[in-house]
Amino acid sequence: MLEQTADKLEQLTPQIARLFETWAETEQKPILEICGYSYSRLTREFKMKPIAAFLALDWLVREPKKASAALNRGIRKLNI
Amino acid sequence: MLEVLDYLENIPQDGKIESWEDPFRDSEVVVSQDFCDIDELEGHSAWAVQNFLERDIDREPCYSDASIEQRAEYMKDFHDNFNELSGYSGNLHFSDKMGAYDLGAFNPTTKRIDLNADLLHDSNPEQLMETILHESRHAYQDYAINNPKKVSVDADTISVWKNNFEHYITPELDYEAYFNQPIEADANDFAERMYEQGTNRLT
Repeated sequence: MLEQTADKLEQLTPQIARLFETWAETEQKPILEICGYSYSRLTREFKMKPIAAFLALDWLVREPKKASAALNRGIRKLNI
Repeated sequence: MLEVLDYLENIPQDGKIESWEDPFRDSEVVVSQDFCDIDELEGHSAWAVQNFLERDIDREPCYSDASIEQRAEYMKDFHDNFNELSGYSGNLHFSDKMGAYDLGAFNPTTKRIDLNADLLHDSNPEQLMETILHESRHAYQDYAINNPKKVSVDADTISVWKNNFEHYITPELDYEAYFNQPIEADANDFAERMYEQGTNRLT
């Protein structure tokens, strides 16, 4: 999981990579909003960890239809 | 890169991020009965949807006009009907402690399905029914993993499911990976198909 996350961070789209680097250096949160989803909303409403929020924003850039549909449908999960 | 991930995750953020706590985590473990086989599960699930929606036409009050308490009873009735048809004995509970985007969850230890009670405010039962079907599919995956000789699911699929149960990716860590992992993709596909088949059978 950790290695996969590292790989994904290294392959972020340029737009999200710049925001991620800024956050990593200064802790400044991105203001960007894609398909109605922002960093703040993802961490607050979806309880995402900071890095997960950047990965979700990156997915929204790469596959906006699929990613926003997946987020819109909500979370059904295993409770492990 | 790997070394900095832990550091980055520990940078303080505004708003404490808490993992969802299962209100039934300490509940008694329920021993499930046998599930039907996978082909029968599909037929029974679509029939349970069809049966619920057909009966709702004559029900007084119908789901959309019912109170929150009545809707909860109707949903339990749908789940009981699914259990009766599939041979399983999973439990269903509504929780008022789930996050706004948490629809439902299946606990493989207690075999319990938790549903977000807020979903009962929607006059359309589709989302709740699909969530019950989705979580019930997780129950079936769990049953197949633990009883591989009692189901006709191929060994490779069971192996993939087992590995995924053991290395489950939560949406809080990577939403794309959570959404695309095998057991979630399978449960999403199952719930959508069964609801669609059930509604298509309505006369």
